[in-house]
Amino acid sequence: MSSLRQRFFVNFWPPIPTLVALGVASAYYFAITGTFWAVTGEFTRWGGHVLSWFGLKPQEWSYFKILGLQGTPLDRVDGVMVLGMFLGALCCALWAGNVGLRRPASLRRLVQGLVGGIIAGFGARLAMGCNLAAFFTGIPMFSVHAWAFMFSTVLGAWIGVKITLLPFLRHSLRVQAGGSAMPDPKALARRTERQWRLGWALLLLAFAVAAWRFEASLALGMAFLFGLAFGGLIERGQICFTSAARDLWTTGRTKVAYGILLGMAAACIGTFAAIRLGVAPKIFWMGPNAVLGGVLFGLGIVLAGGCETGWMYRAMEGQMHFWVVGVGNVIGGTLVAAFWDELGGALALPYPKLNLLELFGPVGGLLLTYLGLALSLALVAANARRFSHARKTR
Amino acid sequence: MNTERKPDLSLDLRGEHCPYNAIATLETLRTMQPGQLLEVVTDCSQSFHGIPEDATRHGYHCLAVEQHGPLFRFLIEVPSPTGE
Repeated sequence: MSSLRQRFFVNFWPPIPTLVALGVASAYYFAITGTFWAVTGEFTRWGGHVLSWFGLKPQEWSYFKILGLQGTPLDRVDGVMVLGMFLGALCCALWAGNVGLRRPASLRRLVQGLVGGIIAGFGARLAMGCNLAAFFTGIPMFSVHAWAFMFSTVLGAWIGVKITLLPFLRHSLRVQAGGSAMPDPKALARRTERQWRLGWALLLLAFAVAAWRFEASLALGMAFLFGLAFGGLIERGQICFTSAARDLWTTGRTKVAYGILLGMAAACIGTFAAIRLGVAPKIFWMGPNAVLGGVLFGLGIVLAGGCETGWMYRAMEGQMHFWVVGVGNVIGGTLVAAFWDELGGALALPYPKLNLLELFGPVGGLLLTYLGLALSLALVAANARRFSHARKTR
Repeated sequence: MNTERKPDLSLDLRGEHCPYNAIATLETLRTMQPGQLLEVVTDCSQSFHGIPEDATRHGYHCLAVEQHGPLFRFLIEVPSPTGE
């Protein structure tokens, strides 16, 4: 038992299989609930709820008419799924003994996180989705705008890296001779046991919530359970979409990028099946909003250090920096909602919603998607070679 | 592989997030001599995958990755020219 516990509940999972599992799960989620795995739309609705406490009427805004702002988060598929993600990530972090309040390195970092979070939230909602709906679960919808968003995000990440590494955002290195003291193993073991038990108690509570939501509807109950799984998987695999885009430019990491592309390849065949059986795909405008949104999103997530899914599990681990990034995301998304008539009218609404399966037929669209994913894999591999030779001079 | 060896330098990255963790680790390694050992301490779980992958890709040897609750400790060796 103790070795099983160490292997599955403490050691992090390799990112590539975890992302493939996420891809498969997201396809089932789409087939069952009729919507894709997405989080930023729900964050923006939270912003709408907050505004309505102050007497504003966001439900009459055109953006919230597209998104829907009925009821509370607990009555919405996206809402219970997001709640599930938080609980799933928290359970997993507790089981691993990995929950602890982590203070940010400086106030400057915190401001950086807020600004980055706002830019990322704004860019994501401008393009009608974040690393999920306009990318990881957008490409398996065969929506052309997701391809534009993906490549623009990589471009935005490059700008983000340039800004993030400017001297005024760097801290001096804290280096000392010799090793540093680690926490006392006995105290650590006691703390780990407490968190282990707390994690199971929380899971029981989560199952009670699931039962309550199943009473309301099958879709709500299933969405909550899938949320638990999504949140658990991203925490266990430490799935960082930001890293996939950013580290093409910094250190040449490849694992997460490969995993994301393979995860989408796994998802595509599942969503294709669901669409063939009559589930309506979610297709959005292929306008300048997807490109501009992607660039802003890429810049924002690099500046903030994490994207919309990244901050969720890190916030649960107790990384305070990412609480602030999450608030930034909500603010950024809400800004798009507030100015949607101008933004959408100019950048999105006049442009067509392009569906690859309609443009090139079902077989052509599917084939083109897989070709695009294969080409992206090759580009990531070619890019990594720039870094592998960095230490020839040894 | 001897993880009991005393590191020559220790880099404290608590409170920092990516990409600073990875960049700072590689910057510190570049200042070190062949055969020397660097200890890196972070409290960012994401570095668990990132730092070993980066160190290996840039030609260093990541000898150990440890979790101490919410802290992560890495031991990275600068390879000596002999034996390469």
